[in-house]
Amino acid sequence: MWEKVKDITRGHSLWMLYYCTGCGAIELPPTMTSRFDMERFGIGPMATPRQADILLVTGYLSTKTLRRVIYTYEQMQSPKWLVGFGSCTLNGGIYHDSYATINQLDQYLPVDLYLAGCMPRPEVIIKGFKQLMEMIKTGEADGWKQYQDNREWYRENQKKALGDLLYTTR
Amino acid sequence: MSTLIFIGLAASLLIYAAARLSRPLGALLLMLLSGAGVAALILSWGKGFTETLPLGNGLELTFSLSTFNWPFLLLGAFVLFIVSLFAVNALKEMEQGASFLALLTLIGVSVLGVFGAYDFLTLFIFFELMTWTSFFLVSMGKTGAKKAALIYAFMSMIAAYLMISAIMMIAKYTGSFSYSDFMGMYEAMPSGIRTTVIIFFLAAALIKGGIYPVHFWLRSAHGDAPHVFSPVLSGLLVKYGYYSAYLFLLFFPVMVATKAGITQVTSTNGPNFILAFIGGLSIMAGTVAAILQSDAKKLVAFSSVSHGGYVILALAYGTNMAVACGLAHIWVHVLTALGMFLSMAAVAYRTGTTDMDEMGGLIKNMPVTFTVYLIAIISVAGIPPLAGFVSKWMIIQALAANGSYILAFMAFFGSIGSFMYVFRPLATIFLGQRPHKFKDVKEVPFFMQLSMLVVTLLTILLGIMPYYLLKPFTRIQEFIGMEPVRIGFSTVYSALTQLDMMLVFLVFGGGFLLALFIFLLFAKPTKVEQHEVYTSGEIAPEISTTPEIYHFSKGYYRSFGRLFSRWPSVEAWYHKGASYISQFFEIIEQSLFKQSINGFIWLAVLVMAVLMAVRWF
Amino acid sequence: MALIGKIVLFIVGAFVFQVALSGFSRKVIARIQKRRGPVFWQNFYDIGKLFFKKTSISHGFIFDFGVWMAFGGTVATLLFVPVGPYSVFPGQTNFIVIIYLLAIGSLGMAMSAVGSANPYASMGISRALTQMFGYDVPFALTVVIMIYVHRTSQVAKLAAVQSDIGWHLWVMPLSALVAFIALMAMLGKKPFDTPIAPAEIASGPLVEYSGKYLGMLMVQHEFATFVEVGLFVNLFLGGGSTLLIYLVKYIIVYLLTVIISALMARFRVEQTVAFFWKWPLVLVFIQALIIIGIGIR
Repeated sequence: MWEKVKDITRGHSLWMLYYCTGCGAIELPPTMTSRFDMERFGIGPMATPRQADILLVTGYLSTKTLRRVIYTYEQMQSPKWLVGFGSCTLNGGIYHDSYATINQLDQYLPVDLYLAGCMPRPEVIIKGFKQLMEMIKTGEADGWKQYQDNREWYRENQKKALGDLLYTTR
Repeated sequence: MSTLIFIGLAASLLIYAAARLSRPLGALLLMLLSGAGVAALILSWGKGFTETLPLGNGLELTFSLSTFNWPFLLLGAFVLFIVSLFAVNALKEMEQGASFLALLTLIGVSVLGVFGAYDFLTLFIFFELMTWTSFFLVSMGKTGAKKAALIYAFMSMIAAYLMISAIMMIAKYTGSFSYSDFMGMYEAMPSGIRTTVIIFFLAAALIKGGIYPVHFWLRSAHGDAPHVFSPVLSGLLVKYGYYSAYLFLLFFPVMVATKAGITQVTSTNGPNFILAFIGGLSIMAGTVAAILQSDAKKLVAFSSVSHGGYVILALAYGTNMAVACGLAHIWVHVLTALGMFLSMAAVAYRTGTTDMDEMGGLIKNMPVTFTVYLIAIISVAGIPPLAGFVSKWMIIQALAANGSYILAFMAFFGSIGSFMYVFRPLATIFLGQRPHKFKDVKEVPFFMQLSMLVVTLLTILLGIMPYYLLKPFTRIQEFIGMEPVRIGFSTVYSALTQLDMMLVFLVFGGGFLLALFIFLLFAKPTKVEQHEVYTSGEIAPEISTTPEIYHFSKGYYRSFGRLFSRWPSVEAWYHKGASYISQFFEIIEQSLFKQSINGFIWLAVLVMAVLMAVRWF
Repeated sequence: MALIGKIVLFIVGAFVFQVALSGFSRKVIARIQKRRGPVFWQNFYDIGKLFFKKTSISHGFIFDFGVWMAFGGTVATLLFVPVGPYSVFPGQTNFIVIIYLLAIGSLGMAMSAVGSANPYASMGISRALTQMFGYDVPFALTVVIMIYVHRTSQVAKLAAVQSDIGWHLWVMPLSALVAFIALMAMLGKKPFDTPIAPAEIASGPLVEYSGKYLGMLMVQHEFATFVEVGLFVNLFLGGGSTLLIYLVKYIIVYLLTVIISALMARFRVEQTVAFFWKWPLVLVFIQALIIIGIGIR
């Protein structure tokens, strides 16, 4: 029962790392400002991964950016959630045949929620976040646990994409 | 007392010999000697004596131990005890360690004479002994030490000339050198002579105490002197300045005044307010200069300038609360200066440098030194429940009770500004990323830690129980006839209110325990390595560098420094004045002192002519 | 036992009140910006979430120790501030003690932040200390004037004496203005929020805090706000003869700072210090001249 209280608390207060990975980041300012006001759900931007709960991967991921995203994800503290934003994280989007980007984020980091679209409008973002909040409150969103349990598999994929020289933090 | 002085003189030779054999042995001997001094002084609390030592030709030296100089003598013995304990290990690499210890013993002897003097001749003789021994000690330091020693000797010489002129004036008027004769004739002296005497002695006190317009020798003397000597310089020699200010501002006038029946002494009269204002200027200048320094010892040197300003301001202010606070602050400053300088010396002992831009992250290697430094700076910043808070509280109450808002502004300026400069060595030396070259630095040896920990313990205890800090000074106030401040065991009183230090300590302890309890209630944290910080996704080895570039120490207060970039500096004026004077004398030099045979013959003829003129006319 | 009960009531009451109020202030800011804003108990959710984090990072002993010192110092300060007609230790509400105990909170957080070995944290702390130098000097001077005039440095007495002579807000208007601006700097509100500066230095000192550390620092910030706004209310608005009046005055002062800060941008840190040493200091000296020098009450 105490876990239920904790999950509800976590669901109502989500701090997002405003990490502008790709072109999808342009949709975040409208969502946070006056018209679509994300703060009324308790979601707010935070400056560093140590303080944030949600990592928002907003767009295509080149291998260069993927390396930094992995480091950032590992610097966040559990429980944490990853939201894949835009079609590029889902299946590569319009860059699906590029040599420099990755196609499926799910292979490298555990994703809790995808928001498809190129790019998704603020209404979609808000609907997606509401769904994430529901998942958190019922305890379904456990990507971070999966990352810890299947660390080796994720490592393999990461090394395949980025090469062997991969420093890890946590 | 004179036997003690002879013992001390003999002991210095003995210690020199012992230190040539083995440095720790010499230091231990000095420590035993000064420890015995401390014990003897504590045991003779409340007793007093006077003795004379005839010198022949009608002159004699008078020594005295009494309520009015007991705290200062104890201070001298205590500082020597701590420093010699520290020096058991710290002199290992110094070239002239044996002479260092011998000269330190001589400083102890001179301190006995200066603080224990009961006439001006004794005062001056031992002042000169103090000056030239410390001159040699300062010059034993790094490469710039010779020049620093010269500046120090020059300023001390100016102070000595001022003093000897004043002493001769006194002797000519009263016919003897003794304090009691001076006090007896004090009222009867023509006010012109009396004012000149007081001004000369106070000017000498300002020079020796390192107060604002004449403070610049303190910076180079600390910056380049041997690290073990700085605690003695700032904890002891500078106190001579405060002692003579105390004598001439407080002891003589008030003792005379109360004998004449005047009981309330405050300073709303002009000259004392000017002196208090100079003290206030010193507080402000010392604080600002300390903030802009990047060498740890020079920073603490300017902190000494600032605290000297506090003492002069409090002593010149004159109300009984302010006077008690000024005297207590001398002791508080000794404790904090010892804490800061000893920890800086410990760091320099292990790393070989005091430049704050080069160090970092040493807390993992030297936790004891860190704790000593932390307690010292908490006391400097005036945070309860330590000793520094007691003196800060008293001075603010004293100034607020009389409505001196300008002086209160200066006192607050120094107090709040001290946060900035004391925090900087903490952040740049002990915390932050550790450079690779200091990875194997070890903690300092046992005796050095012991001496530092004694100082820390005293700082804490005297803060929680200010009775022991203030009692000697209230007794001085009773002795000279001033109304003493009221003190309780752990309570401090003022005209406006009272404060229980034990309660503050207990409440803070309770809050700390509550924080600990809440902290331990939730999930256990994971420890990470020092280099694992948020660096915007970059990892240091990947960008071909080491984590130590993440250490922020250079230009720590550069934004603050921009505010003062075009302010005048007293030192620049002195340099300009010195260059004008040397330009003027170059003319004489060129015409008379050419380095050639002709020049020398010319000079010899001139001297002979003068001698013959004097002999025959 | 009654003392322990009083202490617990004080701390819990201050916590609940201030956290609810700061949540409400988020709604006020949102309305100014023409949006809806979160519910007013949002900050309770935030603090709870931070404490319920399953992992957190510690950078060594001094990192933890500083957080305990900051929290402990602020809670200790809290117990010395009079709230309305009540105070936990009657007769011990000395202003100088409060100011310097608050400094323990800052020192603890500064030590812990720099101990995390992140350069952003060091930069934030150097800015915070520089700014503190700027605002604390005029503020302390305003209170020195008051101490001299009323011959007491107990905050409770300074609050009580205003029921006779009228609020210090009207009697010493220049001091009140300076103290209000200094209050905004103490709370770290715009335009004086250089130490935090989220976009410039990645939230400054808070950069390495996570989980329960950040929760404890948030609570410490709320307690510090309670102390500082409480000081202003006691010293310039006459405290409160009943608890309700005190809380109403507190809410008005706090919301005023929030509204002003929602409309302003951020100063650079040397601009802050230069500002505080120019006009506020001159105003305080003029006020001191009027009250002490000339003797007008």
